[in-house]
Amino acid sequence: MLTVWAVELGVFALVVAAILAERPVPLGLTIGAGVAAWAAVRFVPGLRGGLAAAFHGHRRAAWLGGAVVAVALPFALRASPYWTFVATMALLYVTIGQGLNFQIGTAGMINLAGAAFAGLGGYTVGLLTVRLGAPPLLALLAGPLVAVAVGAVLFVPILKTRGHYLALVTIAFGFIFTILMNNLEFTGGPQGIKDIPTLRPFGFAFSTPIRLFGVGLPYHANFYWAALALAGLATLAAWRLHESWLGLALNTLRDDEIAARCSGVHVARQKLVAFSIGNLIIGVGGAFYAVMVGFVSPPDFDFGYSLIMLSVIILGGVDSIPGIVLGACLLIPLPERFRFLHEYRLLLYGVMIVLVLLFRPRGLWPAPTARRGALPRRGALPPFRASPRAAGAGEAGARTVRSPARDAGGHVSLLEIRDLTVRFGGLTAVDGVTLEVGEGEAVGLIGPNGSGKTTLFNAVTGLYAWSGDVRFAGASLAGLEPHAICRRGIARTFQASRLCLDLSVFDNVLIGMRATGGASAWTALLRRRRFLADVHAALDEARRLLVLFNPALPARGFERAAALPQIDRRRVEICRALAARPRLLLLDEPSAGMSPEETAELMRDLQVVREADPRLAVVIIEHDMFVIESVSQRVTAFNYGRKIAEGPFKTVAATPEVREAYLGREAGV
Amino acid sequence: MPPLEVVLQQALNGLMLGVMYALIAVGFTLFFGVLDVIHFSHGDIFMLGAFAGLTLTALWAALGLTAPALALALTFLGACVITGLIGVAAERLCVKPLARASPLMTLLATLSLGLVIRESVLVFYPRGADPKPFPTPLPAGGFDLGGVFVRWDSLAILGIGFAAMIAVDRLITRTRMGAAIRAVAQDPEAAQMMGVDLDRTVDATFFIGSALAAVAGILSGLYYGEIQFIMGISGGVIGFSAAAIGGLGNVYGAIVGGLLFGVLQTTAAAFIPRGSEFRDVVAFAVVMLFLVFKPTGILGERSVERV
Repeated sequence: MLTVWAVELGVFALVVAAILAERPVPLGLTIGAGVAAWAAVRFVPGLRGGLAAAFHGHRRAAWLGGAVVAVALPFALRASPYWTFVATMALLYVTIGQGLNFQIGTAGMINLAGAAFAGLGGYTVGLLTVRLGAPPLLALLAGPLVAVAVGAVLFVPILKTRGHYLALVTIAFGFIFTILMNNLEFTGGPQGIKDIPTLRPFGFAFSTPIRLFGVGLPYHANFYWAALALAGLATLAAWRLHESWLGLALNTLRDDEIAARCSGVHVARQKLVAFSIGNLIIGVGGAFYAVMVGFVSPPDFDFGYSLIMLSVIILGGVDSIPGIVLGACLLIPLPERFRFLHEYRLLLYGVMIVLVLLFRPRGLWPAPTARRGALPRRGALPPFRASPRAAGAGEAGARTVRSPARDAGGHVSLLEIRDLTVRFGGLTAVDGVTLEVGEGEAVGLIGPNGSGKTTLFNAVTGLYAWSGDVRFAGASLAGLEPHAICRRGIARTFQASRLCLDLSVFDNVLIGMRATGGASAWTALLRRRRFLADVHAALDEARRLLVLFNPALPARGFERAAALPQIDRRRVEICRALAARPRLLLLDEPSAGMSPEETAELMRDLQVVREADPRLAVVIIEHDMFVIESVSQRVTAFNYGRKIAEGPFKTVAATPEVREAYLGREAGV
Repeated sequence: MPPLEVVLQQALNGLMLGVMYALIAVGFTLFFGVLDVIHFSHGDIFMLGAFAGLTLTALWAALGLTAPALALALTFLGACVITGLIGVAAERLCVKPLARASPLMTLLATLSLGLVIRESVLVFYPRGADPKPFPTPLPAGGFDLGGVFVRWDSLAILGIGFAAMIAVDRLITRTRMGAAIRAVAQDPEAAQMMGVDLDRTVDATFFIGSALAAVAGILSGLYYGEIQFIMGISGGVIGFSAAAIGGLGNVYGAIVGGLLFGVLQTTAAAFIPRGSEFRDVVAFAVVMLFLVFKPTGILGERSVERV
């Protein structure tokens, strides 16, 4: 514990010295000490690991020490109001950076108008207090809400566009904001709004210098502590949200939107939530800036500042919450320290970002993969809700919409497809197909490439538009989006693997469970114990699923999915589908790209799955006839989008049309 | 409703602006075609083109080159070569190494490179912070055409702009290098298997695109009579917008988008009270609305994601 505090004190002393040292000798000593410390950590064997272990073992002490040091900074900087102000700015950038990172890093929504959203918060404060005489504290609350509201309006084009077009939408919005602020009369034009009154909670004006423990401090210290509290809250909130199911859903849709949709994630809603949370936090930063400096003007919120906010994220590490803190604390004060380079400041700034991107693209403090690996297990709390996944495998319970039709033979029909047709322009990929799958049945789909098998899956899971009639458990699937279909109980895998390779194995399985529940973001934010219990229940479930396939997999659960061999990736993908507790599992060529031995292994796995849940229906697309023969009870053959044969494997395989479709017409016939 | 002459006058002005935007947008769209990236420092390359033009003009004057037509032609030629080479350097340094990274990375890297270019001009060009008057050798005056006053220099700018576009069209549709560029844009791997040298093609594309930006930069100097180190910011954003309206990757789309953006700006300026201040607001708002209804632009291909 003492080691931890000693290190923190040492870093603190070094930072203060680096800020305040002016004359050559102390400056030289500081730089020397900094380089020595860096070299020691870098080159003394075992030191780095030892320190990491110390911080890991005394987590609470480390946090406490860090907090004390952060609170004490104004005392060390008391001689320099200017540096207290710079430190406060760094903290505001921590806040804003967390909000922006939630959009860009976690949800993958490029936002190049961060400064404009901060400006919405700031200008709202200015207008409310100066023009309408509202109390600053109230305005401080209203500002972020305006940022959220405007963001919600902008969300329409944001949802419609992606990638570079999305970047353009946000850039255009930023420019519109700056031009409007420059030219509208009620916002004060280029001069902006001056004389914003300072905060006065309980009659104490933030603009009065204070005396604490006999030490006189500039009034900037008041703002510093308020900003510290904001930055701490924003970071904590970002951290917990990132760990939450919401964070996982956002990461998944960032890496693979289709996989997310087919795992039950309502992409549009989750994106809106992420965008709004981000704008709220950014708006808080902007509003606080307005009351701190006492005025707002257009150049404070122009495109250049959006870039600086973005640079904080890139330098620290995209999607890395501690990285954002580090990035802001380096990027904001550093240029101020080198003011003798003032002329070249922006130039060096640009050069630095380019160099970071080229040589350390994941940032100074890269985002860890095992976000849940460090979550403490507190007590033996039962799962906070009797979730469907805790109940027996076949008991989908609430999801049974209507009692499925039962025909004379006791056969329960689950999926009924009638006259399904899918057209792409002039091409009819699936042409009037009728297919029925009963509960507990295993159906194989065969047919040459391009015969419409995968298109059938895509239609049933809601990815493609179709005509005809598709019913699942008696209810029509017409007009349903993929996430809704997944929640009804249809899960699938993809021909070309759609795992999120940068996420951990557990995260990839857990996203499947999102379809059937998972604690809300509020629980993750405010009810820590419940959330931890929920996550650990989910992790246990994931382990149970993974063990079915490969006993060695759970031990690698917190590694990146990319670290797994092909066959294990395929298994994880099937686990993800099973985690959604489906009643129907669609497997699209599970043996693609595997050796015969691996295929045989996978077939054994599938048998285990079927035995574990006898009511689970499986439809499997395969080219490997041994797989089809061993797994499926019934086979349907396709060619040119039409069904050409149906029945037991032997019969279908002997049908002349099927042989012709696969092998071509025999010569001379 | 303003009288017809005013509308026509504004349309003509819009066309002039549009020609410059189109030239920038073609660069954006070409780069997007071959590397699937937005080269955001392209706006500042455009600014560099203008400064290269200014420097060369001064150089010819100092060397005693008095024939204005020859000087202008040499200015265009020299600026195109200089700017084209700088564009290739930018691509080698910062675009291609990151072309496989996420779009966010390339976007930010090129944005930062733009910052570096901009600040370099500010710091290292003599009195870089001041707006620079741009000498025009084009004849003053003009003629009246049905109430619309057409200036000679406007005609010259339109002519040069369209000539540059036609030249690019010929280059892309008629030459071997153009065929290589189109092939790489469609499918880089297939193109390589057919013997296309990918690196050379990418270099050539950036040379052509940057040279076009230089033409736009000089035209902008001739049109406004002055240039400034920050002109690349709005030039870049507008060029990108134009390319996006037209559909990224489509050269004709970029031209249409550029002309559309110019006309949109001047129409907004003419029809809306205090329009000249808010013309960019209107233009950008239209771009955003447009992308809602046509998220991949006028001539962009509608992409069906393969599953």
